[in-house]
Amino acid sequence: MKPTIAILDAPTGKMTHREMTDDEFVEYQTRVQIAETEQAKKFEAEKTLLAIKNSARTKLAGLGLTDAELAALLEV
Amino acid sequence: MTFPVFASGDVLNASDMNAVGLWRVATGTATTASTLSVNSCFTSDYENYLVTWNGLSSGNDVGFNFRFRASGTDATTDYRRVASQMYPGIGNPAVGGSNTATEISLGTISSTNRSASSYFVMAPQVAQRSIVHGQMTHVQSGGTIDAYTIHGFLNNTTSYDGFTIYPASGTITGTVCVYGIRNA
Repeated sequence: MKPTIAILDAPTGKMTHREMTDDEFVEYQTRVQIAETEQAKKFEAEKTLLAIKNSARTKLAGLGLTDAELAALLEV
Repeated sequence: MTFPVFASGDVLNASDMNAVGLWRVATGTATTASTLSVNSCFTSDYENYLVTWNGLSSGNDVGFNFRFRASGTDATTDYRRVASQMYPGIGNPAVGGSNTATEISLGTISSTNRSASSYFVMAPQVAQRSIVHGQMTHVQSGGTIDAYTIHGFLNNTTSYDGFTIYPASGTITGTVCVYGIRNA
């Protein structure tokens, strides 16, 4: 079963829910695939940034900075 | 009668009604839909519009997007967009954007709690760039806040009579309202 789409016709106020057509389903699959790829890239970038921040925190703590000073610098 | 304060039994004549600045032209509720399209809501009656959305998605932290639509078909290329995202703990807003986008990002949406978006659609029926700008408050599944300010336009001069909003994946459930803004 294909996903459902909702269409509101403004002049009549009628809301229709129906199954996607084949063409709409192809476009939908492409869109979802792109979104999943972008989401994976975003998660990977966030993970990398967090690792860099943690590394910086460890190095700065080794220089004697307090937790408050580290938080102010790293904003995490 | 002193406009805009009316008393019971007052007659609303043309000059009173023509002074109404915001007119609801469409409202509807979608239930577990992969997309929600509104057809024929942008007309020559109004140049600019306000759109509100209040709803949930089936997943968490899912992108929520907008596309213009003409005669029942979405425009899928040549969007230009920028957005800033804020949440507690972030030092500066995170800014992203594209000059080759396939949609305008409205923000992010989650399940459990309803998120809200309101944005202006400028000149969709006029032969110039159709612009969208607004904001979104994302109520995350754990009840924390995530907020967006968005700007975008479609880089052509085609007239559009509707739009589609949709999650990046999964489905949405919620209510959309479209209001025409009277210029004169």
